[in-house]
Amino acid sequence: MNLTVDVETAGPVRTLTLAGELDHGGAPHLQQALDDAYTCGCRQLIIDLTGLSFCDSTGISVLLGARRVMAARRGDLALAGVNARVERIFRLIGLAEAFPTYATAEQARAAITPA
Amino acid sequence: MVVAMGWTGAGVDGSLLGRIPVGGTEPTSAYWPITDDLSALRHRVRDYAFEAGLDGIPLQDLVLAVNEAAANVLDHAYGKGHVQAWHDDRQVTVEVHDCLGELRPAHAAAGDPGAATLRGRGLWLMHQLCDEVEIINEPGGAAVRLRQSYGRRPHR
Repeated sequence: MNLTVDVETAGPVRTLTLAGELDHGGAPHLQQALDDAYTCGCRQLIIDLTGLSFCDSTGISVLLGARRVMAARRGDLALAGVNARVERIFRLIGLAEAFPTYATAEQARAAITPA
Repeated sequence: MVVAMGWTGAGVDGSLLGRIPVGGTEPTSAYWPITDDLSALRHRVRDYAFEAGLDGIPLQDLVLAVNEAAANVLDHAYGKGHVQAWHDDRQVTVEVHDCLGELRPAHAAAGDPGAATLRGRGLWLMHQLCDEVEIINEPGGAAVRLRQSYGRRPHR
């Protein structure tokens, strides 16, 4: 498997830590983890991309789907650890501002955890 | 020197071979079938294009563009297709062929799908990534031809 998704739940915040390649083959694994999060009623979601070595438009489509679901349930979705390569793809696609992004998952948690 | 690699013979007919320029003393072309394993395809394209002389962002961008085209074959053309690559002293050319043939030149000019649309970014993204993107209709299928030159491209 070229993508692993590590799931961590701390209170209301669920963090999905990705490692590997978020591509046509990896995207379904992320989608499964997202579907699990939706089933659990998750409204604060962080996706940590620090360990991603590759991301394509299929992967970005899954992230956009998560953005849409979280917006519909008035939740928060933040990305952490967006590296230069992934940032460039976001920018080329015109999505540089589509997600709140943080340098680390810790910073994302601090930002979106309800007071 | 780049040597031909991955030639399986299967699926390569005379018409395809006829388009490969024979620069220098021997052709330096490559052929790979498209499978579910796009990671392996990316590595092969990366190695080939690097050996040919591409590096840095233009290399990464070409690899991503090929990935996008091959993902389209998996999603929209029953996963049946192949990739051919060759290079000359100016550029690396990679063609991603499908066996469905529903791509049309108008698709290559597709606009930015925008943030609201989840799918259909591939071709638009290829345009942002490569110097040239061309759709070729051929008997029994269609292909996306992607070209990346060695020269420095304007920063995007």
